[in-house]
Amino acid sequence: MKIKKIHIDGFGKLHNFDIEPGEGINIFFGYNEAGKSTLHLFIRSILYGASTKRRAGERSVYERMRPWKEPELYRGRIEIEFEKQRFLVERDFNKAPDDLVIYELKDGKPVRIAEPGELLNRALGGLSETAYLNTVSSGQLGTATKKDMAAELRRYASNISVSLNPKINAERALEYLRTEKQKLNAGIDENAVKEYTAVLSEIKKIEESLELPENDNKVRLYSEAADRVRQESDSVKRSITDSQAEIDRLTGELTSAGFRNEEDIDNAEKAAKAVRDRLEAAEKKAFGKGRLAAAVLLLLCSPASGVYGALYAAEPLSLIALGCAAAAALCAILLLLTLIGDKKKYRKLRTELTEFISVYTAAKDCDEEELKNFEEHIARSRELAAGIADCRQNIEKLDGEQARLNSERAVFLDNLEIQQQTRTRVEEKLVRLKELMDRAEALRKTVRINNSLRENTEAIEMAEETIGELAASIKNAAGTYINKEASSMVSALTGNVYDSISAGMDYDIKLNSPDGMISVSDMSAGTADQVYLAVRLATVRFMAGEDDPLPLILDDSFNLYDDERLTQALSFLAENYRGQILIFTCQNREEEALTAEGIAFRSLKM
Amino acid sequence: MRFIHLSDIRIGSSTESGTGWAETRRKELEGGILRAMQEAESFGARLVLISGGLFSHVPTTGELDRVSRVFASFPDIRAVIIAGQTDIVKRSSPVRSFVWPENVFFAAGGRVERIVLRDIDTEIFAASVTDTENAGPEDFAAAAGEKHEDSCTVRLALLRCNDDEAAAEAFAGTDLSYAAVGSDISGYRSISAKVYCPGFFEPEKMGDSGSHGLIRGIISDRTGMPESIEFVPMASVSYVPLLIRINVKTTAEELKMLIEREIGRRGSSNIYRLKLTGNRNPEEDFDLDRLTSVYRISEIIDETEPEYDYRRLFAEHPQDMIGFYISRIVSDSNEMSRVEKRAMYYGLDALLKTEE
Repeated sequence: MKIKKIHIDGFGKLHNFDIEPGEGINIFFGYNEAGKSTLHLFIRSILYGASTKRRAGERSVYERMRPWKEPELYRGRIEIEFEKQRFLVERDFNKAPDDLVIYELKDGKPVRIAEPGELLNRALGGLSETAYLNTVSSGQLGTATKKDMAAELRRYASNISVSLNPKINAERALEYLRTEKQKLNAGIDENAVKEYTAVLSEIKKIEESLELPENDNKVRLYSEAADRVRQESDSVKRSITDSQAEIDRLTGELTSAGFRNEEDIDNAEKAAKAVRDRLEAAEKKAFGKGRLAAAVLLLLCSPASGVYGALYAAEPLSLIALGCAAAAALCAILLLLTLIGDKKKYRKLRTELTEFISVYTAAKDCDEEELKNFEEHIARSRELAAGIADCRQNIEKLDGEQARLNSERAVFLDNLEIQQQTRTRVEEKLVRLKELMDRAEALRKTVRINNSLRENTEAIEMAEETIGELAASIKNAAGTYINKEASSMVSALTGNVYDSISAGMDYDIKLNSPDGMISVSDMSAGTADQVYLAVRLATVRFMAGEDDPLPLILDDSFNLYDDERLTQALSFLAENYRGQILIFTCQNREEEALTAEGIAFRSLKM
Repeated sequence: MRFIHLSDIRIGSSTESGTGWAETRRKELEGGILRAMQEAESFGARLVLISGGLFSHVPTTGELDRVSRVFASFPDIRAVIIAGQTDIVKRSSPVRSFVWPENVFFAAGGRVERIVLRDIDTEIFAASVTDTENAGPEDFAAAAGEKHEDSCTVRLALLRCNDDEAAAEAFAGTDLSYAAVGSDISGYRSISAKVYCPGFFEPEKMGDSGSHGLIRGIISDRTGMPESIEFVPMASVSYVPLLIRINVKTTAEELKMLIEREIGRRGSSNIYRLKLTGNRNPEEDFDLDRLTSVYRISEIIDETEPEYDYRRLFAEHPQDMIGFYISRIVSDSNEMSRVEKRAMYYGLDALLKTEE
């Protein structure tokens, strides 16, 4: 696209201004304040609309360029040639900063274009304003010193080939993201997550351990059981006491009955029996009818015999009869005597027996009744003794029972003691559990914050990845192209000594040759300039295409260049750029240099 | 016979631990039992029924001690208590052997227990939630149906039940004077003519909506029929959700004032869950953490997005890394995910901030 004519009705300090650039190099000469920058800004504003962006407290271009006098007359137009056609591009900034009308000039007659924006974009090769500002249009190129130039070149080439924007440094952006990520990670409390997990698992462990049967609260169970046993034991004790009392009572009775114990009873019974037996024997003896009968007989016989003897007896017989009578009488007397003796013995025995049994039964005699009493007494006493023996046995049993109960109770009490210990343990666990649950809740909140920090980390990583990928693919496409283009320019520039440039995300630009490479810092200032320009031109070609190149605009760009550099740069541009080159300057040097080199140019005065 | 019925004081709740006011809140919850007893006293109640949830967890002996001291200081008022799901009676729980003061009855078993309070002519059928068994409302109805020689005029049930319908059905046929139900679902409700749930005495977390307080009841000593059942709101605090919209112009100071104003309007003793939405200036540091220590803010949900006008940036940088980046992140879908929005912000932030 070429700019054929420029007309300004009102823009900044320019009013009713016309100028006609030609092919190739155009030198716009004007002193400072003559309006060069304004014209430059106008061209930009015609192409992209008057910028309304404010930067750092300054007013926007749109605000600044509104003319003081006749502010309604804030418009202009340019005539361009594009694809062998001519167009009039008009903007009335008074209507809007981006007001746009384009006419096609067919045979001199303007025909309004339906989609001016689309056409203009095509004419611009799709170049955005940003790209335009970074490539086609520029202020000062580089700096005075070679060192700074080298830096400038490096930066430009690096950034361009990776981000297509010389101001955007992908490497630095990534570095920035890395730092942000570190800050976030510092904020992420990794320990909180670890602790949270640990707390949860400890909670689980404690809860599980509380479920174990050994921790069951059996205090009531055991204490009630112990009480029950104690009550039973008490009742056993009472029974024992009762039995003991019974024993005492019975023993008392037995003693009253005259016995100390069963042995005594046995002895008494035995003794009584002995006496009774003797008595019986005596009785038999004393009351045996035999002897009495004999005695009676004898007594009868005796007198009979005596009488016989006395009366009838012959001599010897009567003596015998008398003798017999006497003997009989004697025997009878003897018998009677023994009988009496026996009876006495008997009576004595009776008395003895009576005395014996009267110790026990207050008997006055020992007749059948009394003897029966005695026997009953003995029987009763035996009952008492048996009773005592029973009680003793009972007591023994109860003692055994009590011993059992005591040991049972001891077991319960032991268990109760263990339970108390368990209770203490359980209480500790419950207290700990409470602490842990509080801690878990507090940590839960931290973990939530962590998660949101993690989300941010994820986002940063996505950004890093995307930028990295874009850098790589841009470098691949643009970088390669720009490199190729710039390299061929450089090759021409250096007389084929160096045939390529290496530029990339690392910060060094190198010129390569089959024999070796030199870095930009080793180049001469002039060479470095040209490499820089080469890269820039290559960028323009990449972004806007090679056909119908846009006008290159250089505004006071070579002020800091010395003559040699200037000449080299201008020659380079003339050689390598096929489109218009509009150079705004307030000096003569450019013209002089061009003239000296025999390069054609058009001179325009502001 | 005058009584008070409440549940779910949730003493010892952990929900707010980690905040600066956790301790204050813990004391408030513990103070709840005192407030309930004072209310009982001023109402002239002889009986306080707690249908579960006295604690938020299995209580320690220390906690039981503290609570029992409160009850002991109101010796003329009887308290009958059961455990709910939160303070469930486990086989290892200290509450199984804890010795309460004379005026407190804790029915710690899972089977329906009959407690007779002769001097107020009242009998209560009560059972706790345990880890071995649980009585349902039908079991209570059955127990209430059994004949006893020493039957009282006033007959109450004290139970835990999350199924309102089942409770209403089970007690419909009985001649109980009143069924005091505790439930895990918050909010006061009268489940049927005689079956009531007082809801949570204190809210424990966001979402515990509904009224908070206790029930005051009067039952005729003559007939055993309820004469008056009344809900009294008594919560010290509510959980309030707060939504605040900001934009890129909002400064940290403005946000602080905005929050203060809203909290001031709704009560600074309430507990807030704060949600922030809208776009925010990426440069502004809102220091949200500090807010939680100054106000009773339980949780802050930050849904704000740092805003770069990426559409504008795309129009300005269609042919360089910035433009390519934007179109990569936006990709095909119209809606970007949260992470993508953040990535948009971070990437642009990095590219713009490191411009040379």
